Amino acid sequence: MIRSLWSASSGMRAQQLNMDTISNNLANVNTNGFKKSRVSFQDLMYQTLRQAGTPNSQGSQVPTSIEVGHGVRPAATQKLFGQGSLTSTENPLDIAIEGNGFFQVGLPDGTIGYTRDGSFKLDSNGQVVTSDGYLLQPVITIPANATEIMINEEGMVSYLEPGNDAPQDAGQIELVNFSNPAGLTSMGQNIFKATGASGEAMIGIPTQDGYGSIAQRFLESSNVKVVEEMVDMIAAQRAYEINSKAIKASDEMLQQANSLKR
Amino acid sequence: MIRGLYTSAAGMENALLKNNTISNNLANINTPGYKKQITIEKSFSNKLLNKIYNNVTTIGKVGTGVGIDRIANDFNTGSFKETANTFDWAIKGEGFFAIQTPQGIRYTRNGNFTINNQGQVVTQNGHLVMGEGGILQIPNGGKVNIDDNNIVVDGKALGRVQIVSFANKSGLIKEGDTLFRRGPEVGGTFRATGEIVQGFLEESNVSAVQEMIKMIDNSRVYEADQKVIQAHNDTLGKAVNEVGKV
Repeated sequence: MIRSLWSASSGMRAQQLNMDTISNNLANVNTNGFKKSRVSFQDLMYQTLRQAGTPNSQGSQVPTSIEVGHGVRPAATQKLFGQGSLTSTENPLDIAIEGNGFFQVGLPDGTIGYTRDGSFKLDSNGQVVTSDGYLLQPVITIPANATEIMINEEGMVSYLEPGNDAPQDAGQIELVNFSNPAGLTSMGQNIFKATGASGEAMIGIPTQDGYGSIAQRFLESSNVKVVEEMVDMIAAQRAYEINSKAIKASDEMLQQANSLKR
Repeated sequence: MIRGLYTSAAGMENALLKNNTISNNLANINTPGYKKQITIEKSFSNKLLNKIYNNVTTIGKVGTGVGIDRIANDFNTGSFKETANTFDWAIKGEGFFAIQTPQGIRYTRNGNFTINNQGQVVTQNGHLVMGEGGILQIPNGGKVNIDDNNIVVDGKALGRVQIVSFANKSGLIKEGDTLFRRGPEVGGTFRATGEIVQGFLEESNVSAVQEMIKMIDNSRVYEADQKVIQAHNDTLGKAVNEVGKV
């Protein structure tokens, strides 16, 4: 009896975590390059009440065991790396990746972070930076007098200078891929970091070897789909509710056992 | 009289155990690859009542209650949910993934995998997912595809994922972490016909409605048994306190 109370309460706790994750997805429905998360659950241990193969009173062996489970636990929160939709902007430094890959960003601690958020800006030195001022790697510098910035699908950045019709080369945007992007950890600020589970960063040129292509004047929206999250939210809420019903049913049964002796 | 008390008590005990299983199913309503459990009951053996007076005459049979016969796993396939993750694998059709754990090989339908720092395919608990030729090793680089249960990286086949089934699946024993282990009755292992669908997870096969109804039904059975015990108690009380009262 008490077992079922614990099992159901583990179910309620699991659904709370599920709700937390869904809420965070919904909160980031308009965050550029945001990748939604899902909680993944596993069942807890089982208690064997009767071993299979135990001799029974007829002298043969019982073929099956009786095992009772103890509820559920969260095993992982995983990022889902489906493509977000691309929205058109007028900013020449808004770039989106169509397909696989991440931009590399130099973090203040000297390490490299990875992002799908391509809303880049120029800093006072003319270098391409993220909204937080982190440098895009490899560093690309645009002179202050540039009249137009062009970025092609292969990630080649060029600009026009006044009085010169020939585009000047500013550098190459490189993309990074991982064997298992789901293993990346989120650092906040739209930045991911590599872990043992993601595999090593593999640098490549856009459109080549399975890397995505670059779309200038586009931003990748979050891949959160409101309807999908709402449906998941309803499912999580109902799962929470049904587990609370299980607790109530168990409680009522205990109460009845208590009222046996009047 | 007293026998009736024990029969009803057995009914209550039974309902308690059933309730545990229902609660566990409900707790795992969102667990990928979870297979729901069903409690199967049996009646205890009937007792023959005899009248022993001069010669033996049979009066009739009386039941002695109910018990749990077994808790069976329902292996029906859960619905598939798209995740778009490279290492989320659902098995379409028959079969289980083979997982290497420190306790030996275990089996699961939960294809929520990832890779570890050595590039091996592992479960979320870090246990190795087995291929037909051993460990599944992913070289650093390239896009991982699954074609006919083969891992293909950059057009090169790297080995087949082991998908197995058993002569008697009901002999599998649940171990938690969505893993099953072989029981004594499971019989032979063979290569299953199931096919891996990449980027999908198999959801739990628990049906909320079904479990809810079982829960209500079970609560009512428990309540009825409790009422019977009280009725027995009242009758006993009469026998003890009122019979013989002048």
